[in-house]
Amino acid sequence: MGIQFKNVSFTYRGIKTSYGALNQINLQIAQENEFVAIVGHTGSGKSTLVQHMNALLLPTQGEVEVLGQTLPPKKNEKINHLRQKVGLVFQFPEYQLFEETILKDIMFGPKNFNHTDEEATEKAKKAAETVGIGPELYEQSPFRVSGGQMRRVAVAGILAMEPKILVLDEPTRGLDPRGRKDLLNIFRNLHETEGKSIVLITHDMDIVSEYAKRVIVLKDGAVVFDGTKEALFDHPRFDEFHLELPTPLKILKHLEKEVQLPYQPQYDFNSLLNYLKEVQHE
Amino acid sequence: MIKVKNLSFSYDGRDEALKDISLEIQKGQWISIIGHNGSGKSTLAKLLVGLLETPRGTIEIDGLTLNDQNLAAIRKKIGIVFQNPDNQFVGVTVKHDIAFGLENQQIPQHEMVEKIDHFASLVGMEQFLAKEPHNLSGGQKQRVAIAGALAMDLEVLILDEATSMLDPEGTKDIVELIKKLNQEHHKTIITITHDLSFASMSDQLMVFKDGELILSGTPMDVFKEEELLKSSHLELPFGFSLYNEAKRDEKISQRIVDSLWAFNLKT
Repeated sequence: MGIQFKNVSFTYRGIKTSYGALNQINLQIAQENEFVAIVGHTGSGKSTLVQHMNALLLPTQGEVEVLGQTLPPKKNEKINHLRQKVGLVFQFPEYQLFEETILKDIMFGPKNFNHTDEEATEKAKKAAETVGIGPELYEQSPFRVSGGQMRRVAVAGILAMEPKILVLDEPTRGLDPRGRKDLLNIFRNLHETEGKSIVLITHDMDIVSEYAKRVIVLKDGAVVFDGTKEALFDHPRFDEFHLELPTPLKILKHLEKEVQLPYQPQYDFNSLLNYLKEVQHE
Repeated sequence: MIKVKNLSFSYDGRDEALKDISLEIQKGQWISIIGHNGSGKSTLAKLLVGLLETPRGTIEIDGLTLNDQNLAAIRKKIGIVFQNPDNQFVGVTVKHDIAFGLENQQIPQHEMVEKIDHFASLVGMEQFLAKEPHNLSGGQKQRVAIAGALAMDLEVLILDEATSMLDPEGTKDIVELIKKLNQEHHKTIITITHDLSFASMSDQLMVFKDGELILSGTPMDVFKEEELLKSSHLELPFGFSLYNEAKRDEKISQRIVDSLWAFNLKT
């Protein structure tokens, strides 16, 4: 189950021009326990790729299988329900807030998928709690809270639909460091406690290093790497991906070169600090 | 170049967004104003360009006191570029966008064309003059916004979180452009940011918290005050934070600590 791409190509067709955005993509994302980062330069096809995951875009060639349903769909086959099962959070999702109150905004998704007001309220409150939006904010206008809070309200709107898989397109861009950390910890928590699969587009290698388990690298609409983050950052041809190394690995390479500290990869702040404390070094 | 004396401001007449700020910025400096959301840093920026009315205290730009009479003259000296590349593109093409401010000043046609070409090439957008905004990336839109501001022959350019919505390539382009404007064209630059790694490139930092200026100095000096920064909801860049932790820990050798500092200096 989960999501599977089989030889998927996608072309954006304009009036005069068309533009091939995805080229022969094959990949699989399990329904549970995945934390996948999708990386690649602007224009490499990342956003196009994830919009296939909930049928917002349909493949020009090849097939995508989403939770057992094959896309493009057969005649008369409904695909709307996939938008509930695979929750997609766009870039700057707070631009799509529109309701009078925060609670109403979060309820919009579940109501749209045929839940009663009562059910929708319950789901919205639960989602609000998950993202750290307290009851004192329910009746506030979503436009009168901070940028970080607006972003979390928008994410709660997707969580309230109780998607099986969560797909996030640069969820932290434009947030301050505190807002960024809060949001990423919410996703990690969902992943660790509920085993929810998370797919996350990012440009920030420090986020990949600290949070992701697996990385897919796109270049010119094709997958050029798909594997663990450990394998990616240790790849003999890493330079050819034109990605930055995450800061902890940059520091370790620097220490190896300058003070001959044995290089042993560490992927976040605390494990790097612990390594520096424990390593035997003259 | 900029002298601010006892400046206070309140949006609603009650809570003060800025409290008795005094500061000076010299010509040709690159200053970063840092602080959490709501610390008053954007309010200061808007006051400096006369976008907010009736503050208490005085603002002097290049010898001119900011008031109604001097406002037009001051706006030729100081300009601002905001965070969102999509909210400040006013022209139908790149060329029209850069021309907007010049048209308002009724500059003769031939002079205007010259200026547009000059400033478009200064920001590296000369190939894009006929392009429409939806064909541009966020970084390119910001470069056009900067060209439009510079075309007014500004001395001081304020960038209010101008890179926070951009991808890494766009950010890199803007950083290179800031360095060029500052070092080669001697423009005074004020960047407003919560990103301390970005701020670390400037000459001097001014830290705002709850409407007050609590600390200023070179990036290296300011980064030593980790507790104060933490209490201001600011986060040190990874390498500086690691250096501070390592320095405190006796299990980590002095050689490693020194080498971590060297790492911070080179990046």
